[in-house]
Amino acid sequence: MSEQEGISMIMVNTEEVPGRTITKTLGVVSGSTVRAKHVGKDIGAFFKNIGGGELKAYTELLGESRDQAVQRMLEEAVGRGANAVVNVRIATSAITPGASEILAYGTAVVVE
Amino acid sequence: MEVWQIFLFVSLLFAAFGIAWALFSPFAFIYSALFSRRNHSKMLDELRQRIEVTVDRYGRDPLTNKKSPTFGEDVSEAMYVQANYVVGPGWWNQFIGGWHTLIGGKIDSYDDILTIARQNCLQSLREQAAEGGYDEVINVRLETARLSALSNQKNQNKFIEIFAYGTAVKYS
Repeated sequence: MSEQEGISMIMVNTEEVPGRTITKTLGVVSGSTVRAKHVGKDIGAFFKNIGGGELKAYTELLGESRDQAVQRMLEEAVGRGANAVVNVRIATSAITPGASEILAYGTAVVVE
Repeated sequence: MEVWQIFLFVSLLFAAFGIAWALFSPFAFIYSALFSRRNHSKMLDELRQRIEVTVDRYGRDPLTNKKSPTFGEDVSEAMYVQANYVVGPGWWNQFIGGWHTLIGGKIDSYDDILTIARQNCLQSLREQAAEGGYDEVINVRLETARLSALSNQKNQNKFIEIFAYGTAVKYS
């Protein structure tokens, strides 16, 4: 899913880009986003939870938020003149009822 | 005249909600108790079949959490892949889970729901790799987070989110 509408560049969660050599590192870049779903979806999830199972509304919400967090991270990397981001990590935290924060961070590098 | 009518209307509305809830919740609980276990094992069976199909196509499991590619260093392409899955454990599981905090022991039904979520994420990674024609997914990591819904303190953090990510590689 690294081919978002916006920026598309090499992004991996390994320490090096397989098959390429890193010539320069440009420091840690990060992007975060906080999102919430509207009450209707929350009520829907409440009823879905009676029997248990996948809550599609939340799955979608978090997938979109991750894409956005990654996109922001890539924007910062482009701003620093990088052409790849390595060692990407993603963290999630529930900061307040009904909303969660997604943080994506990695190392911006220049590869051959 | 006007004010007390509005007041009456609002209180009647609340009463109607209360009565509806009192009638609905026992049935919902019974439904959950009778069918949730069966539904979950059915979901698990379907998932296992899907996994078998993909693994058969590769001849091996394409996922690994090793940091470097298994079959040599000649990699032509690398792409980040991710998948997530949010599950609600269901009322019956929550009830049983609550009891088990008193008596201890293992909770099989919770196990099922978490297995479904994890294997779904991993299967999604396999499918994304297969679609793009990638040979292997390396450095796979799994993460678990608890979501809080809009609700009171008692019911908070009941939804569970599983998130998996890795790097798909293509050998040249």
